[in-house]
Parts: sequence; structure tokens; C-alpha cells
Amino acid sequence: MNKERRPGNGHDEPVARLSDLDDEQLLAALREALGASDPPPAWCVELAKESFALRTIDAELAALTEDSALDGTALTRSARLRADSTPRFAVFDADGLNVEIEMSPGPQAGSWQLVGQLTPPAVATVGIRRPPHDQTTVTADDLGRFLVDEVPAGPLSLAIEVEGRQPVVTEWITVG
Amino acid sequence: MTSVESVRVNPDTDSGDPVPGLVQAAAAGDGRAWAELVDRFSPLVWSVCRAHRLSGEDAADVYQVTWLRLLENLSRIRDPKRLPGWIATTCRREAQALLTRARSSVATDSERMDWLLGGDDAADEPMLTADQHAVLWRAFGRLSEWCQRVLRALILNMEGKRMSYPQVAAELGTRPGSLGPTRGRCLKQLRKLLEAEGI
Repeated sequence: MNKERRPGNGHDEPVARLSDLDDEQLLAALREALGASDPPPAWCVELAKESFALRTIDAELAALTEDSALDGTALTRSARLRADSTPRFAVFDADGLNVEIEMSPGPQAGSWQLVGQLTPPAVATVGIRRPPHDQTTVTADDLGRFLVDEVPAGPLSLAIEVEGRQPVVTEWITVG
Repeated sequence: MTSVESVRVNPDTDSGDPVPGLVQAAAAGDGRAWAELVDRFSPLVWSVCRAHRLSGEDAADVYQVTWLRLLENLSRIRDPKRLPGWIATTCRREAQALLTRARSSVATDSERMDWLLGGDDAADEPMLTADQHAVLWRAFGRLSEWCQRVLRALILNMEGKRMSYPQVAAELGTRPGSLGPTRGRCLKQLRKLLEAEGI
């Protein structure tokens, strides 16, 4: 083991084997792992606690199956989309319901516009969910189309209620 | 029919690890159990975010989404004892997704967020990988209650590399002279647990 790699010396290399560390190094590693050296901000922690309100009980989870920002599927979707460009395109799948959304930067910095499509097309209530609680709702028309004018950057999930079926929530993604 | 009133998990009477009970209670709707999980694992999540050299604003987003992922999967966690590893893996995945998206934030928003978060640079250069974080957590959690208390107190009282033994001893209600040997013994035990993990 390279004895030069000591914790706290500002080296970029991670430690080789934790069990090879001496007492002082091990304590320093523990300090980092326990978050004593760089603790999470209190407001972050509070927000995470409050977000318990976003827990859903009876809804079905629609998994993210495509995301142009992650795997270049934009290339197969539309000629005008490049993998690294906006709008960003994402697809969520639940049993019997498919949700497609397109995200583009909104008029205000830090806000995004969201255009959505439900398949099969159906009228639905679409709830916008962001930490720490549910926010506004919009309505999908009978062609299953919906629009959200302003979504701030950050974590986002949609709650979709179509009459006659189990509510659906989309897997959390980060907008922006 | 389970009551929605909080199920208080008593770590002193339950065998060793309170985490499975907390996960179960949170899945059943206990907000206080959730808050306790957040308190317990927040340092782990934050450290993994920072280990990816994320800026303050990006780290905050990855941090939130990691918790939201846990929330959406609470009832699906099959082995709560593996929660530290699950959390670290999830956080790492989200961090990598963010880096892939190469998010561009408006400069002024970033600066303000960094100010709110107390600056972009960690006090010490992070040196642990996400896996090592998770393993250290797990191993630490397997130490005796006393070892955990002693090591935690020593770490929190560390300033650079100087630890005030009299201070820590007073806090723990024990003799300063016993701290050195205890520290050595506990770290030896920790090392053994780490060796067993192969890390």
C-alpha cells in the first residue's frame, strides 16, 4: 500500500483498503463516513423529512423507461432532438398507461415547461409533485394531452388519475 | 388493521439493529420513523454526493432524489440490513445521471446556492468511494454500543488530529485514562469487521 496516501492530506486518490489503515487514518475515514467533516445542510435534511408527505399508498409506480438526457434515445425519436439538447424527452410506463413528457426551458430562468401525452389517450387529473408536498394540478384533455407552464428545476413526479383505474405516480426525475 | 399512530422502535430492547424496524414503521406510515431514517443516513447520502465532486446545488438535488427514491421503494426493500448499500448505490446512480445530463444552472443561482450551503469546497478532500462509505457504515453499526459511542464522541471532538480526551471522557462519563485503550480496542474490532468485508 502506498504510504503517501493518507487521509486529510488533500490527495485525490481514494484509499486502497480500509482495513489497511492505521488508527488515525481509520478515524479520519470514519469521520468522513459519518459526515462529521462535511455535514449535510440542515435545510436539506429538513426537506427530506418533510417529503414524507409525498409518500403514496395506493398508486402504481410508472417506471422511467426512456430518457433522452441519459441514453441518447432522442436520436431515435425525432430528428430535431439531439442527445445533449433540449427539449428533454422522457417516457414512463405503468401497467396499461404510458406517460411521455417533453421538457423545455421556460421563459424564466430556472423554470421549465412540460408538455405531456398519456397513452392510451384519456382525460385525467395530473398532479405536479415536488418536495415537500403535492403542488398544482392540470387536466389532460380527451386526447391525453397536458401542459404545465412552469415547473421549477429539481425533483419532479407526476400523479395521474384517470377515471376507472388505479392512480399512477411517475418515478422521480430531476428536471433541469 | 394497523394503527397509524407511530410505532416507536426501541433500539435498546430490540436486537441490535433498529433500521429494519424503522423501515417497516415508515412503510406503514410513521413519519417519525422516516425522520429518524433521514437523520441516520443523511451523512452517508451527503458524503456520496460530495464524493462525486458535485456542486452545492447539484448535491442538494441528488440528495433529495435519493431520499425520494427510498420513499417510493420503502415497501419494496427486501433486506433492510442492506439499506446503507442500497442508499449509497442509489445516490451514486443519481449523481452519475446528473453528471450525464451536464446540467447548466444560471450562474447567479449557483452562487447563491453555494453561499446557502456554506461554500463549494468540503473542509477535507473526500477520499472514500461510495462503496467504502456503505461498508464503513455497516461495519461501524456492528460494533458494540459502547464502541460506537466512544468513537463517535472522539470523532466529533476532533480538531484536525488533536482529540481532547478529558473532554470526551467527561461527555461519556468515563475515565480519560480508559479512552486510549478503548479507542485502540474498538478500532481493532472495526478493522476486523472491514477485513471480513474484504475492503
